[in-house]
Amino acid sequence: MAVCIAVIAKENYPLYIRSTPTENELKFHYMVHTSLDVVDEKISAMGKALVDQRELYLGLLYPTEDYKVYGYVTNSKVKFVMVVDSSNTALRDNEIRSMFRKLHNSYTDVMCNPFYNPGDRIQSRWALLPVSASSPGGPYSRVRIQSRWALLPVSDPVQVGPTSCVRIQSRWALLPVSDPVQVGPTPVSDPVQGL
Amino acid sequence: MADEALFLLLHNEMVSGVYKSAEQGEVENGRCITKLENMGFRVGQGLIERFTKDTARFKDELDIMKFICKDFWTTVFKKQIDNLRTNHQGIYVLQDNKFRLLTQMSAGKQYLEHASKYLAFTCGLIRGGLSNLGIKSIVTAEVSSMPACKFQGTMQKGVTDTPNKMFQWILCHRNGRLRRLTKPNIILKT
Repeated sequence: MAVCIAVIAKENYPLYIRSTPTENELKFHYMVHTSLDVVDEKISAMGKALVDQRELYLGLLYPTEDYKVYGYVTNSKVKFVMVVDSSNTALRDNEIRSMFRKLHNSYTDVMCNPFYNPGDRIQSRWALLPVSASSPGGPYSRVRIQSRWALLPVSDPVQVGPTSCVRIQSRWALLPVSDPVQVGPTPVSDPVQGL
Repeated sequence: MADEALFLLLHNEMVSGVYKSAEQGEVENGRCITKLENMGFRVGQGLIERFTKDTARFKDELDIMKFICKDFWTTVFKKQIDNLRTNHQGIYVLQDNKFRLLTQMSAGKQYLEHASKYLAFTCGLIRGGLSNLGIKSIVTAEVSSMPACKFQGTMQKGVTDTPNKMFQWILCHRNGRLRRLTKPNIILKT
């Protein structure tokens, strides 16, 4: 079961990142961030003997004790990173590949959308919905995307109302590339824990 | 071949539409070519994403240019580029001896000065495609005899958008005053 999917632009900032709401979001964001190094290593000419240079699918990037991280890079240097639960051993390579293909198809559709400016955060509510619905067993296949800010982790998937008060937990939400995000009445104490 | 005619007619109308709006004062004079080029840029970005979805990863710049000359040109204009020349230092010249968007005009010298309007969109198309593949470039076109034309692409080396650029401005607190260092390899003394 895929627990986190991220679309990273070629300048290494996230365009779209969603994870299952039940767990600590930040952990997945860190995992995706650290996996970018592994992706860069794979696509450079350094490890040429190990990986087929011409393929888009990068395979398993690195395993941790609970999760495995898979990577995929497109020709336009946009990276897709998927974090999968290790306990699900029935998930084979082919299924991961097909999930990445669907993600790539959805991303291509987003690119061709005339209302989308390349380089912006992917805000469209329906853009990558087929992906979350099709990943095997994903709990967020039942989730209706309520939050207007697709990047902010929504703590409760069935929260009603577009302006749910969420605490900013992701440090990427504060990068200058994003628009200033309005937070609800609850004050945000210290989102960036001294990284 | 009906689908070819569709794009041709739409493109002609687009060019005349942009110039008509310039006459009515909506667009500044002289900005029409830029407008057409920017349209082509955005279209090129989306098209390249779609076309490179199934192809293998590109090895280098020359590989990308060959893809543009063969697959990209074939899919858009139903023919390949006739001649690709490079000086291996970032300048590529694509020559098309029978450019589809110009074949409808007479082959003599009559409409030579108007030809550049009809090439702006395609210049943007190439520039958008290259930009999405990671190459910043400037693309210009010239016509010496209709319907042959040449697109010249100049790749810009050393222009990177990496976030490391922001670290060139390093503030250091020194003797109680904030000073700005412009060279990133200066050792910070606190």
